[in-house]
Amino acid sequence: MNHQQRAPQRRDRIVERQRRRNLLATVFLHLELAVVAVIVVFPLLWVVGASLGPGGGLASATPIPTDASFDNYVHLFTETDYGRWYLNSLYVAVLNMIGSVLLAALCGYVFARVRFRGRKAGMLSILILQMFPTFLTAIAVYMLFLNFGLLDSLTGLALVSIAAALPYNIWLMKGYTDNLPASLDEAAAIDGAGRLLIFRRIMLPLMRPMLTFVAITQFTMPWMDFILPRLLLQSPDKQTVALGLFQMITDQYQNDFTSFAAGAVVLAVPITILYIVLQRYLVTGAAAGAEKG
Amino acid sequence: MRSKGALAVAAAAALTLAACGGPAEEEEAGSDIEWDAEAQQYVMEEEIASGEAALKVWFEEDYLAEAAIAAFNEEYPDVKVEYELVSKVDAVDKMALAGEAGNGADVYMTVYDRLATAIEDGTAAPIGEYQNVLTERMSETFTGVVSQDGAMYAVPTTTESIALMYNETLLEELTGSPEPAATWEEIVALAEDYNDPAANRWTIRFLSGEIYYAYSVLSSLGWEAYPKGNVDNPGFDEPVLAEGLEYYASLRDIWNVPSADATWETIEEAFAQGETPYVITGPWSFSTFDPGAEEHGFTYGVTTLPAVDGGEPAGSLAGMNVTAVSGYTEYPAAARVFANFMASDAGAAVVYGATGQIPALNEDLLSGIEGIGDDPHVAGIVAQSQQAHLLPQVPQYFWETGNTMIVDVWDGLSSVEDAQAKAADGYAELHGL
Amino acid sequence: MSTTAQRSALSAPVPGIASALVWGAGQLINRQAGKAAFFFVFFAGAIGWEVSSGNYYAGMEFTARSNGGFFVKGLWGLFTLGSQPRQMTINGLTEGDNSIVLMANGLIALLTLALLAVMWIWSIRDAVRYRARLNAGGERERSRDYFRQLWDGAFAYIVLSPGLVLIVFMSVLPVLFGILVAFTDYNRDNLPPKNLVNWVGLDNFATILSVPAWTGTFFGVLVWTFVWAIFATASTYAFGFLQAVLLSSRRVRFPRVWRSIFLLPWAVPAIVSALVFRSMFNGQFGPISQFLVDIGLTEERIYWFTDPSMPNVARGVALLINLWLGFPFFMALIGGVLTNIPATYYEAARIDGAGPVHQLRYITLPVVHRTVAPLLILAFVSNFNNFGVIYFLTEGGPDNADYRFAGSTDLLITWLFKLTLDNRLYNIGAVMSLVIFVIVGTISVWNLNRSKAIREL
Repeated sequence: MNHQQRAPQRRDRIVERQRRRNLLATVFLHLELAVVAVIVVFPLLWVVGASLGPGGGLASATPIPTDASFDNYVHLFTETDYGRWYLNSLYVAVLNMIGSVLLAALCGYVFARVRFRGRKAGMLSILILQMFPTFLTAIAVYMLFLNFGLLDSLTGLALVSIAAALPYNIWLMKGYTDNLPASLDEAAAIDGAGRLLIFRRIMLPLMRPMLTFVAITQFTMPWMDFILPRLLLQSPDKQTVALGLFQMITDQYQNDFTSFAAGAVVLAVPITILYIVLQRYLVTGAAAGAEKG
Repeated sequence: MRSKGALAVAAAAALTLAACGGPAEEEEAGSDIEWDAEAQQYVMEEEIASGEAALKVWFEEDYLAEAAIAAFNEEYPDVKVEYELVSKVDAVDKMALAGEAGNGADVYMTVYDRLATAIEDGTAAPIGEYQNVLTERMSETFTGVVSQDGAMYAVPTTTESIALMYNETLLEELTGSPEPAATWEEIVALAEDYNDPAANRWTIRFLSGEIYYAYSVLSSLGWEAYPKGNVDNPGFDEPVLAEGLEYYASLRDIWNVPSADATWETIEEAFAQGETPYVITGPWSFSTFDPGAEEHGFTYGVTTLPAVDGGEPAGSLAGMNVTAVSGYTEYPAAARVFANFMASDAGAAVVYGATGQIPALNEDLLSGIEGIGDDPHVAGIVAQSQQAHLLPQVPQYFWETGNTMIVDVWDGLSSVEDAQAKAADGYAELHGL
Repeated sequence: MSTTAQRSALSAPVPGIASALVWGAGQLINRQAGKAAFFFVFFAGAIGWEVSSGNYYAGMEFTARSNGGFFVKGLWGLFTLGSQPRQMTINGLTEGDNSIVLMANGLIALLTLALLAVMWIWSIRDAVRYRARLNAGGERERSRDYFRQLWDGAFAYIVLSPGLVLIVFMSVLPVLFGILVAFTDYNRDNLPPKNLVNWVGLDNFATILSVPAWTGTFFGVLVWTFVWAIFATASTYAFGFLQAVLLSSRRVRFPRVWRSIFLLPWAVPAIVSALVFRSMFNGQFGPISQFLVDIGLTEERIYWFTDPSMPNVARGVALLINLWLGFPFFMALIGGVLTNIPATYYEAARIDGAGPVHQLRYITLPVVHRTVAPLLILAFVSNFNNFGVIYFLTEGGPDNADYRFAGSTDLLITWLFKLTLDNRLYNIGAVMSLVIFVIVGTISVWNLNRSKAIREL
């Protein structure tokens, strides 16, 4: 009797302690997240503040300007070609995203799942290629594009971006695919399914989280790239956001950091939206995908 | 049987292609372009004059491009001019590739210190007979900077020089007179009362880590960069420079800020807010100062740079934007007509109107341009330009070694002698390669 | 005299030689029209390109310079770097050669030939092998069957070929170009188009050694570059990992909101953020040092980036800002990898009584590390050559009186650009980038060899 009464009491105490520890952990967890969020957001407030501020300068920018207005945004869209630049950059970003995802998925799958001669050498050499400091790249790429008629072309620019990130994406997709269970595609192969079919029906859904990651990174990349575009593009109607915005802060006579900041805020929008939309795929369990596949 | 057929097809294909090739058209070393002495201009190529082909120009700013082309078309309504956006700093390097590719402009704008390269590599062509026209319209300082071996290779288009800008309203409050200081000693005296480092209140602000700015002090004490106009020797090891550097370092007392923290945003904006009596900056700051002065209720003036008491007038290093004719152009005459237009009365008016930059013309010609004659701020810059020093084709490392020397002295990193020796050695190392 | 007898009398090398001369000819001799056409298309394409881009006509006096097309003139240009200098006249530049253009075009031609050579060797080998098989009494094979079989046998190569072509032209070409420039006199004294560039062998390497003052700067900058690359990589990885793991916890409320917030540094262009940070950390006028003085934490303003007497403060702050800029990337990456770990692993561990720390140590970390380890090497390399952050944040400062053209936070790459590109010492810069490549490459390969990802390749 005595014994029976004490047991539930002790259990209650243990449960209570556990609950309290859990609660404490949850509180600490959220505290950490909140602190990081503040550190992340604080400098960005400066960018937003500058974009709403009246003057043209960076030094007097504050997170909450006294006379905030959307003048800089209005200026951006009415007095500059921002809309045009934006569409051009969007085109490059989307093309880069699609091309990179396609190539990264295919190459990653092949390197991870197919055994062929030159596989190791191929993987190593694309890695080592990345280690050479890109010195005078511009001249070589310019002549290349001249030969293939890609000068002053946004498609050419997207090709450069795809190629530049390809080795990284191949390694990423290969490493990820290595960790996927081999049993599924082996079973399909025994059933007589072709490689492309296996890739499309079984591997692709499993690779989805990492492909989402590649899509986001590749969409993000071209927006602020300006070294190669500066060389490869010259027509007024082919300018990208990066070129247009840099003009605003490099031109001493018309220096306009506030419009520059406004432009930066505007271009952060699609990237953030894309991430919020795609987040589902990025963190949905691969196991769930495997069951469906 | 089949194989023979295929080979025959291959051979036929090769021959057909070969037939398309044909001999290379030897390009005629066409006769030199024609100068119309009466009109004082080159006779444009027929294709251009009739509008059959378009002239291509590289501009950095689209608003300047559109204004300049519109004005050019008023004078030459039949000529078609297209523009592309290429920054002045990139234009020379880009021309070396684009010209070869046939994508280059016929005329492009660049900065004067890139022109040395353009002359060396052949992307800038001499401007020919226009040389005589232009030397009459602008000072020798300007034409000299774009010349090599007596030939001009670009049309000086705009000029800029730093000058002393002062807040008249604030000065009247502080000293009882809106008149600016003529010497550093006067500024130092004012600083003793006005400076409050804790509150970031300074009497004068300027970019302290650049030889471009320090040069006014150094030249006032007798130093001259490239004393013999010879690129081999920038004069970093001259004893007279030591004196100048010592004096310059002493100015740290009234502007006690590490050189890299004194960024131009902080300098411009503090003046625009009416907190600083003096700044040293150039005409590019007007676009920040004008609205600032209006908003904060002050007026400001522009005058020559302060000298050291008992020293010579303070010199400055003139900067210029120039218009060059591409060495690759197929229309050398028309290209020169357009380049020259940028320094004509109509062209200068457009440049000033669109950008606010000061055309590189003689003072009497400037006064004819609408808005410039009665602009006292421009007058201050022009006055300082009269004291500007002519530098030969300066290599990039002059600025790098010179800036390092100034920073070493200003931030107390090394003694004046060591800084001078390091600059001289660094220059020699790069020059001698 | 049956045709079969005739055919079997044909020895295997004959179609091989035929294919070596005219691609696909051997296949035609072997009576495989489809294959023959396939190879011939490449052959005709290459010949057509050469002929149409050159000046081939009857009765010409052939010189590679004036008659050669894409391939012939390209290779000629690569070897000679041009022979006809140009002059400046009032009408512009006279006709002549541009060495750098010739060099780039030559490399493009060479790489195209290298890719075509693969087809060439394939066509020869195929012709020889098939003939040998026939001679040994093997079955005839229709082209269509061959291509179907090829799809299975060479699936990897076919799928990889677009990527390969892209990498050869966009990555290999610039690297080769950069290497070749190290052996020329392409610099400010020899700028095309007006001047011809020449091959000079190893002269540039000797030139670099003749300026001892640079050696001290080089080693000083090198050490900091290593510190930077290691800490920048480790810190962004570790912190991104931590955030990803925390966010994957079931305890977190609104994980999607948190994730989206943490992503923001990545969405806003890094250059804008870097400029804002630079303004915030301005020692004299920035809000941060003013704030510290106002609340009485420090007596004097702290000159974060500009105090030459404490370069390590500048370096530390630069690393922290880099962490801010870089952790969202690893957070998103690792977040994706985490989903790949089957929940059953954790359940099994829990049943065995493993706590969260143990689960992290023995399940999460190894799996994540296996995917990410090679990427860390790439991150290390890109941090080693990180031009943007330092350039926009500190411009290399604070200044260092002992260095030539470098400040205390300058990385090798920023120093290299200041020293050589700004001064148009392209050949010297190319030599230095070779040196950097050897250093980074050696260390990375050494590291890679120790990593599991490579050993399991």
